[in-house]
Amino acid sequence: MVASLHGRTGKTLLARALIDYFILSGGKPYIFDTDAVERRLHLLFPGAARLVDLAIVRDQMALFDTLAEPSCEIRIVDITHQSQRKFFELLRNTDFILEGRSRGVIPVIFYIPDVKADSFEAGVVLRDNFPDCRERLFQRAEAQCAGRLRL
Amino acid sequence: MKPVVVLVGADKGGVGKTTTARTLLDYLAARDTLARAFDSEFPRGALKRFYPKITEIVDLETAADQIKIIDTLSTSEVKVSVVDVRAGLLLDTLKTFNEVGFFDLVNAGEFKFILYHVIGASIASLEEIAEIRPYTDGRNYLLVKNFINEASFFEWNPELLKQYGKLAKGAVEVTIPKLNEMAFEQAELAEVPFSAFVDNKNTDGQPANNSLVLRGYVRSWMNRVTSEYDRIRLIDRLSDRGVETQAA
Repeated sequence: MVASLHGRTGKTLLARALIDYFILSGGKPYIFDTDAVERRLHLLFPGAARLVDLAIVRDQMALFDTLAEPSCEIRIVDITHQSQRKFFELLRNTDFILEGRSRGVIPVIFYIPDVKADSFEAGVVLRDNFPDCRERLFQRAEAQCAGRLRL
Repeated sequence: MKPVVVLVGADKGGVGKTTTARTLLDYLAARDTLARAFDSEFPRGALKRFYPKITEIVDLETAADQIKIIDTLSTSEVKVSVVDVRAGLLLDTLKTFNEVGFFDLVNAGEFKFILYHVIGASIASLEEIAEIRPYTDGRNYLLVKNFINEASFFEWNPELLKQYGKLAKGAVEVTIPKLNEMAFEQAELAEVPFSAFVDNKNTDGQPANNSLVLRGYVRSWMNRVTSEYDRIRLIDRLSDRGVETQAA
């Protein structure tokens, strides 16, 4: 799950990097693009990326019911900042973490904060609300994406 | 504990009566309160397929079945009897219960009685409440607003809202919030109590294959309904403890 509070933080860029990594490692990752407007992942990985609109219950089911199924392949969800609230609300209401884990599904959240304070706070709230998730906090340097892992 | 009769009724069809009856039975089970149910959608039943072990299908218009309910109140080990009254039959059922002396026994303190009246957001409901009020004096009268499609109950019309306010005086209002239609349908098809659906169990108690998302919706909804029943102290109302009821 790749998320951030505001737009233009390099989320989709990170998602792409992750997807490319897994493909180069010989896998066939499932990709979910929640951006119904820009659809970048959907365009970049035709046939492999599924577009889901979290405002529609049927799409919510297509996403979460699939994510909860055990699978050998990695699943990557690029969460647009507009969908972020809805996404994590669903995560909480469906008790996804508990059920997913009971089926061997390991949830990992990549959260990208930007320079604004509320963005950092949102990341902390996320970490506190989903303590069972492994979380990686990335900070984007001025000119490039620098990864700094912090558990 | 004295025997209690909870009459779940609506004279207007389509207000979600059986659905709310299901939430009631689920809540009672969760609160370790044994209950039996009478399903008056004779002959096929509507409630029975969700609670087959505790539900009996009855025809409320026959004396034999009325006897089956009332005469067994004192003898049954299960103290709480939930009667799901077929749509359109509520007023008649109240009249019949009156004629056979049931309310005399309630007044004498032999039995407890709760009227769980499910209403829709229409003028017809106001007429219904008016007709039913004579049977509710000094009793536990629950006005259950089931928000199936509506966003509000009479708030859109100040005149109707005023009328409703007068009629509802002394009644205990219960709000059943809207449940997503797809979630509701999948729960219906599953033919198990809501809590079993949420736990993803089928009729045999084995793992089912229901949608995680839809189960989440039902879980959130049931939590809200449970809070409502807690708020109105439903269990106290059923027990000998009781809750002070206001005269209309």
